Amino acid sequence: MSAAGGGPAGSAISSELLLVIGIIGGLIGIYLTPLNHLFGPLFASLGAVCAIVWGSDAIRRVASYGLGTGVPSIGYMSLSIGIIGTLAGIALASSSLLRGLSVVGPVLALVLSMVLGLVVAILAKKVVGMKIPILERCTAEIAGAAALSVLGFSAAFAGSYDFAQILTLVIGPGYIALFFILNTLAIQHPFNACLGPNENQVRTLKLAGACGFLAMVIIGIITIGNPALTWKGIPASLLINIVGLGGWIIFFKKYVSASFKEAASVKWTGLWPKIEE
Amino acid sequence: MDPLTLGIVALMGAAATIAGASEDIETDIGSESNPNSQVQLAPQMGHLHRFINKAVAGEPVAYGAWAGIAGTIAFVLLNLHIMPILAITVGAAVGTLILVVYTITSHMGRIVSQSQFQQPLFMDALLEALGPIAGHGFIALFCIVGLSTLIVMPINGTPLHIFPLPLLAVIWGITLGAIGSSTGDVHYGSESEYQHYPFGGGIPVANQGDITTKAELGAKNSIDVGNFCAKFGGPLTGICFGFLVFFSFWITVVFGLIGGLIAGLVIVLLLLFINERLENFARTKYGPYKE
Repeated sequence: MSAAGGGPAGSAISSELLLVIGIIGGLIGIYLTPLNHLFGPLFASLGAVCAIVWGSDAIRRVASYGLGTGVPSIGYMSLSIGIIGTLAGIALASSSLLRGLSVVGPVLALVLSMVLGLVVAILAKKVVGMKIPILERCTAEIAGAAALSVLGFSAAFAGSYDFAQILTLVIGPGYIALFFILNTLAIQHPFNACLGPNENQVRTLKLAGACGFLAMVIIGIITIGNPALTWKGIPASLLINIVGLGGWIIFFKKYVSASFKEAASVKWTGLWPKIEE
Repeated sequence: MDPLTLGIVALMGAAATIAGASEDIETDIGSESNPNSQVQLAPQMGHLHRFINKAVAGEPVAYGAWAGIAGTIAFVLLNLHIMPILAITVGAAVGTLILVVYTITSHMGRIVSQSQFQQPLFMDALLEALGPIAGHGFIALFCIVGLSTLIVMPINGTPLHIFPLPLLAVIWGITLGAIGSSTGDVHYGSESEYQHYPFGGGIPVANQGDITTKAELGAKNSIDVGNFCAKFGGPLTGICFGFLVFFSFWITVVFGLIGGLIAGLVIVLLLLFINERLENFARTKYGPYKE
């Protein structure tokens, strides 16, 4: 179960299952955005949370090969790739080249991001000479998770995954900068925080859920800035915040209980035990 | 030269100085960035401790995120025509809450993942450090968002920069994190964490993780490191960030666009010269480290 660095990480939940949850959950959430102005943004945010959990597991698998301080770095890099892929994907879908096919935008964003991630990983191995066996697969996965999480939150704020809407409401006012850095932190933090010889995948993923829902709460707060997102007088920001806060409390409590259970000992005062040097 | 704009630039420089000092002390209390490696290594070297292990990315990513959250919320509230001081305060408060949550999760995660070395999870050490971490974090975020707001406010009709507030807050957050990590970490409390080694000898790799775990009375803790760093590390980080913000705008406000570029180049050359002279002076006067 541990991931001390230098080898493949053991896992209780298969990476394929998390990949399916991330991709299917993320895409369903984003595609449900136009449903209406109350539930659409909620589903888009939940899709982004699924993608964050998937991305956290991918980071865990690749970083267990001894990346160390490189955990935040690969998060940063992959989120950049994800944003480039996302914008290219939805822009291409709304261009005259694919006129009438804007619906393929999210899938195109995911595919382009993963392909870009793959190319960067191949360059890192062939040119830079990194010797991580699963670098290609994991970089592609993190970039894909980044794409879906950024697009999910962008769609939640804009109320649509249409490029023109996202350009006006998300990129123009600079919200995209927050989504970039907030999602970087949410995706790389769980494994970075739990790094150590007694790291455990289930505990790390509980933290990933907590980080995802916490990011959702932030999105809920800033959604106040888009007054169009209301349905029958109920603002979408209220619903996103309630669900986000509820999800965060559940996962945070699970993470804290798991930490108490797995700690060598939990003390509320006093000194450490005497050990053999 | 417009005196009002110059006054605003001076105010921004002052806010940046306070932000820098607070940010460095906050991250030193949390053992973020460089001190984190030492605290992380200690249990496997047989030194159990009561320090905070706040492994939240690096300082640049972390402060980019906190400042981004604070700045974006302030931006949303400003667009709703809420009083700027209130908008900035609410933004900084939410950013601080997120900082505190990430501090708790990273400390618990890292300590629990070292359970095989018998390192206990000291909840009192964590809780008593959260107040100072939140306090310093809030001051830093308030100042970053405050100075970013001053940049985008159209004083005399035109703002100092055309970037939107969320983007500026993220950029200044990353900049401050980078300065705290580089300038601040020169005085990051390694002397404090390695107090039982002779002063001035640096930290050889063989000694890494062999940190001082006991204080004058009882266990040494993260707040002791914060107190130590408040003397040099914090103020130096503040001065560095304050100068950076002040000179970035002062040169163009006083000398115009082209004159400002030339003045900027002159300042960089002057700093290079002063650094070279200072290093030469220190090496000549104190010489190499002797056994």
